[in-house]
Amino acid sequence: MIKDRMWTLLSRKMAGEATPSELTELHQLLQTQPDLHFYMQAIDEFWKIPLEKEEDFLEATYHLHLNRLKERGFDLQKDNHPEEENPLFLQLNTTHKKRVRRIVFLSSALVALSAILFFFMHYPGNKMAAPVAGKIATSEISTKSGSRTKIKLPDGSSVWLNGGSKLVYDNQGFGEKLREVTLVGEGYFDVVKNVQKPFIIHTKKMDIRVLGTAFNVKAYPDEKNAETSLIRGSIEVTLRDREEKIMMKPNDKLIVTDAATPSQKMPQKVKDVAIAKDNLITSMGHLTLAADDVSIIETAWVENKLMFDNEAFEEVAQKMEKWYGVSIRFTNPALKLVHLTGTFEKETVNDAMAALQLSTPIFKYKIVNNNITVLN
Amino acid sequence: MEKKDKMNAAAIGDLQQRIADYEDEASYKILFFHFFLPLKSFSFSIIRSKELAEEIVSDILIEIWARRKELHAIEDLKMYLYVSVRNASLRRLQQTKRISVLSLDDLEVEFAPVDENAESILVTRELANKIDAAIQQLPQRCKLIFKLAKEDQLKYKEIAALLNISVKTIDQQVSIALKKIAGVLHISRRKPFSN
Repeated sequence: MIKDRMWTLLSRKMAGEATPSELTELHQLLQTQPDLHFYMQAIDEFWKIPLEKEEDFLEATYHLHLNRLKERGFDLQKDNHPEEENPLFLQLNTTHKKRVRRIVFLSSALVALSAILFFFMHYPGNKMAAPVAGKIATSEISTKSGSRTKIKLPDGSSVWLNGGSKLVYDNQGFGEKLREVTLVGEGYFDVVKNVQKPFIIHTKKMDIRVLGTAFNVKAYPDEKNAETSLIRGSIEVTLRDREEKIMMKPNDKLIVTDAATPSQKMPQKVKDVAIAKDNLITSMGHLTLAADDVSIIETAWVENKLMFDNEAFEEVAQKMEKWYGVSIRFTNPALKLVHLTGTFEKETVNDAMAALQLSTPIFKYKIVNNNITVLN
Repeated sequence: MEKKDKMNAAAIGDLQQRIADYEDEASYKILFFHFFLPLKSFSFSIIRSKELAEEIVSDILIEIWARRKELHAIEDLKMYLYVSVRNASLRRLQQTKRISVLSLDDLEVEFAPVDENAESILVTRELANKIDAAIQQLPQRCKLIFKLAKEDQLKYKEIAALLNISVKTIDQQVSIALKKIAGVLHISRRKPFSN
C-alpha cells in the first residue's frame, strides 16, 4: 500500500501535478524507504530527457503546410522565404488542385522541374549544356568499373562515387537557389546542411530532396532495383511520374524495382510494400548490418570494402563487375539464385572468386582476362 | 520545468495574441513547430494513418490562420487544438471506417524512443532501450495517458477532459507506467526490491 501511494505521488510529481503537501508526503515516504531513491532519480532523469526535435522533418513539413495554405489563398511565404519565389514552383503548384492523397503539392512541381533538368543534362548536344563564353556550363565526374572516387562539391558536400557511375551538375546553377545534381550509378552523399538551399539528386527512377544528411543512392541503369539508404538526417524521395512523396528516417532503405522487368526476388526484411500503377514497386526496409553487427552493407564500399549479405549470386556478380571491372557470365541461370555472403577488402578478383567457391562449393568458374564464366 | 522544449501557457498565449493582432507569421511558424508532432501523433493514435494524421493536423492549423482575427475568443489554445484534432480524427474515422465508437483500448499509440544523444548518467543507452521496450508493452490506453502526461506535458485535468476519463484513472495509469519502468531499472540494478 505504501508503495502504491509512493508511485502515485511520484507520478504526480513528475507530471507537475503534486501539491506542496503531496511533495512533503513523498519526501517522508522516501525517508523510510531510502532504497527507492535510486529509482526516483533514474525516473526523474528519464522523464527529463528531451524529445528528439526532428527539425529537418518539421522544416519539410512546414514547407508543405505553407503550400497547402497557399491553396486556400493564404500566402505566407512571400515575406519569410524570398528565396523560394521560384516561378516554376508557383506556376506548377496551382495546376494540381484536388489530389490530396498526401501533402504533396511541392513534390509534383519537383518532378516536373527535374524532368526538364534531366532532359538537358542527358543530351550533350543540347544548347543548354554547351559551353558558354568559354566556360564549361556543366561538370561531369565519372568513374569506370573497378574504380571509385571522392568529390567535393562547391558547397562543401562530399560525394563518393562507386564504380561505373556518373555525377553531373550545373556549374553556374548549383547553389544559386537549389543544389541540384544528377546521378547515374551509385553514390554516397554527405550533404552540408543548408535549409535555404535544398540539395536535390535526380536519378532515373526517383528524385531525392535533402536538407542535410548522409545517405547512399544506388541507381545503375542496368540494375532492376534502385535504392536509397539513409544513414542520418531525414530526406524526402519523389518517384518519377508519381505524386507520392516518401519521407525517410535514419536506417530506412527504400528500394524501387521496375516491375516490368521479370521478377527478381523482392528483398528480405521489407516492412512495407506498395505496387503502383506505373509498374514501379517500392518497398521500405532497413539497412543491413553485416555479421560483425557494426558495418552497414549498403555503404561498405565507401570504406573500400566489397560486402554482401545473403544476396543472390546475380546481384553479387553485378557488384563484383563494378568493383573489379570484370564481366561475369552464368552458363546455368539457376546459379544466379544461389545466395552468397562475403566481405572483401584487399583481395584480388581471383582471391574473391576462390573464397566464394570455397564457402559455397556448388559452382565452378573460369577466369580468362577480365571475363569470368560461372558454371556447374 | 527546465525542459528546453517546454512552452508554458503564457508563451502560447503570447503567440496567439501576436498572430491575432499582427498576423505575425514567425509566431505562426513557432506554433506549428511546437504542436505539429505531438498533435500528429495524437491523431495517429486514433486514425492509425500517418498521412491522414498529417493532413488532419495541417487542416486544423490552416483553420487557425484562416480565422486568426477570432483567435482572441479561444481561451486555451492548446486544449482547443487537442480537442479539435480529437474531433476531426474521430470524424474521419467514422467516414473512412464507419467506426462510431472508439474504445481507448483500440488505439495505437506511438511512443518516441529515448533520444540516443541524451546525456544522462543513470539512463544509459542500454537501459534506455529496455525502457523503450517496457513502454511498448504497456496497454494502449495506459501508453496514451502516459504519453500525454510526459511527452505532451498536458495537465491531468486536460487529459481527463480530452479522453473523458477521471483524474483518478490518470493517477493509476501513470503510476502503472512508472512502475513498469522502475521494474526495468530494478532488473538492471540486480538488487531486491524492498517494500
